[in-house]
Amino acid sequence: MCEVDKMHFKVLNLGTRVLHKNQDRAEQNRTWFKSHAVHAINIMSSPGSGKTSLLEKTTQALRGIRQVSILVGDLQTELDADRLKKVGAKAKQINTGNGCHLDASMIAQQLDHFVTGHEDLLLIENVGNLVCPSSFDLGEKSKVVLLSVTEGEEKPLKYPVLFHQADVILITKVDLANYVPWNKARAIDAIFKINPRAKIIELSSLTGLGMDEWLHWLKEA
Amino acid sequence: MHELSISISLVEQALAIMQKEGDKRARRMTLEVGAFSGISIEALHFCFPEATKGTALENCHLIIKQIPLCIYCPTCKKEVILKDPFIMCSHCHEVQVEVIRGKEFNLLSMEVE
Repeated sequence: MCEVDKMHFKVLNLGTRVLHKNQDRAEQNRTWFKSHAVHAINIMSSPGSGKTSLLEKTTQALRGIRQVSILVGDLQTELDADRLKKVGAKAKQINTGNGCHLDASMIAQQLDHFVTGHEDLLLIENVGNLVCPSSFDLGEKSKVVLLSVTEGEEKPLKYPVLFHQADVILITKVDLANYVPWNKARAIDAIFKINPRAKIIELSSLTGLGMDEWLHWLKEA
Repeated sequence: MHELSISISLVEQALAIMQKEGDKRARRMTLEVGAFSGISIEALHFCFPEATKGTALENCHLIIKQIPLCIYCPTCKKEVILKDPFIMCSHCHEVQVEVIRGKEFNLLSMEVE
């Protein structure tokens, strides 16, 4: 493992993954989800892209049909969990303090407690951020990334690592598409350059457009 | 910007290794960082010295080997290094390609005494 040089320094050859702790924990979470047949989904986007609104509508649509728990990550406040509880969701806030992302240990702490294992779905709303969550696997089965029409078409090109990981990319707030400079063809092209395998769903939580397709994907995935 | 928390975690890992090996000081640390890892090399260089302050890694020189994004194109049947993070073959524009390098974030070695 090491060689001593003439200055009494020795070289330790390590070759370890820097984020191995998180990765190991994420794999443990993944095993737990699999053994309890819980489909865990990591939902990511920039702040204000409509994650919580989507989860409100999803909660209402799945009430009585599927067992859903929701974990919501934010630096501060319980506001998002409160919003979701108001529409009947079983939701819990995770405050990261100054942390810019959720990590696998934060999720692990909830397993066998808030997340009982009786769920069909665990929806994890990550901290609004297009950079940091991309480095931290939570053990989820699927990753969903939101891109709202008000953000512009080039976001996937600017934040390629996160968009590349998405199984589904939801283009949100499409009810506003006619009122903002949004070019759908350019957006689709940008997504295709970064992640040609992603399923793309255009959606408006406000009008309900695209919700059926989203719910269908949740059911089939 | 998560490079400060990553730097702190990196220092903790390094200190644990040094403790196990019975080392008092680290002179150099070498990392490899892929172009598609989501880690900013500039931010890491900025944060790492802060994270080492007051530890056995203080003044440790950080060396970062950059790994370019590289895909395997099944159409061209070869590895292709990509300059831009567009996941398609830059020769034939095939998109069903496999990323084979560029996501690394590894601690390669340390020089310690």
